[in-house]
Amino acid sequence: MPRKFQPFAWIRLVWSSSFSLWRNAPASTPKREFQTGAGFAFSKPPRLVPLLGGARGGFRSKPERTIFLPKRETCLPLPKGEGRGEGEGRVISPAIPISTLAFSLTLLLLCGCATTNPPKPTGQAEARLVELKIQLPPPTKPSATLTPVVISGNLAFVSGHISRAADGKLITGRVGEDLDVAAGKAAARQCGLAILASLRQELGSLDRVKRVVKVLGMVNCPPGFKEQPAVVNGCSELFLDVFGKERGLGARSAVGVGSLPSHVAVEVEAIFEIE
Amino acid sequence: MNPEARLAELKLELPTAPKPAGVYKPVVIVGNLAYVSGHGPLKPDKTSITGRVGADLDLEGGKAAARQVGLAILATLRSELGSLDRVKRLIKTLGMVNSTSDFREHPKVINGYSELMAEVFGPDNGVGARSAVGMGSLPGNIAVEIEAIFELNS
Repeated sequence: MPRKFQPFAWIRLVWSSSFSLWRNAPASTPKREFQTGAGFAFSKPPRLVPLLGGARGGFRSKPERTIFLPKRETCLPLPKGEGRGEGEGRVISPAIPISTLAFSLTLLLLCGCATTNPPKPTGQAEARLVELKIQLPPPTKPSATLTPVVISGNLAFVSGHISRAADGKLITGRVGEDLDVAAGKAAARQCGLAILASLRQELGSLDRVKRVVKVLGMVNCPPGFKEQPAVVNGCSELFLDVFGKERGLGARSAVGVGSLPSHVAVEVEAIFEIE
Repeated sequence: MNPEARLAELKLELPTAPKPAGVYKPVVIVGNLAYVSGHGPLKPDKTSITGRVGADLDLEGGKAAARQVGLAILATLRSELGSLDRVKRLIKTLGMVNSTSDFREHPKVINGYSELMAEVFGPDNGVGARSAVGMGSLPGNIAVEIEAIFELNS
């Protein structure tokens, strides 16, 4: 469904942005400082912002209660080829507050270009697979105790898929012991391919996938291993390549587990939104 | 046949619905989905099945523990919903086995839970998506922990 132009949301944004500008102004001899966590302090609690549900989120602290919020950070995806691990990703603090940017954008919009740019339609995943020359493995067969994909409403819940090479053999071993991070990452990508194969089997076409909602990547690794995110990126980057930046990235957890079925290196489960 | 009638027919004894062991709710319902927190193998006598599968427990012991987790989840669902007949189907399960690092039979252990769900909710509605994995440790050294998502009748 294309995003619609929501006048009230923009008015709200403009309102909260103007507060943000006011808050950014140097405060003269503040009596009581409120740490916003965004790199500046202000002398008076902005009472109207929480009432209006400002873009920065409600700030409801009473004068005697000071809440320290974590510093706001923006994580930019890296271009292809560079590491996208949580440890490797470029984490930058915005030089200009986001709400200020939104304020300028709104001004631009109000100045006559009040058209919205709808996100690209779904339905290009199959074409992308062809373009990337990706061959999906045979889909997982259902059994008496497990279904590869369950659809409920507009959500597709995908079972944990284990790492299996293109020739059908299981990719086994502990990452950080028997396999290095690159091999673990390749194993995670194979899990992603198996997930796509099961999804296509259930949906008929991957073009019905609206977006990735959530991924849980489980890495078979020794207790001291720390690179689980870099390993699970093998799957995340595949989804990114197939579904695009807007639809291919979801919420994600990457964890190390003590053991996996048949001693495989990686197991990944996922939730997708479908049309 | 509806789930409550199946439960009676199978003569299954549910434990008392467990109280949360921390800052969480046993079940959260969003729309027609019920998200069930991780449950342990709680027995009717209020003790839990403990030990590592592959060392302290064998495959059968682990499977029995997983079935016991299923009974605890049913108890929580019934306590929350009033009746298991409100459950439409099982959607997804994450089964976590407290196992040794060389253990490989996690799916067979979690089958103890899955077979129970298939018995109670039927071979179609009782079988959902699933992941089965091994954990390095679990709270209280319980043998199995399972979290799940169910769809409710609207």
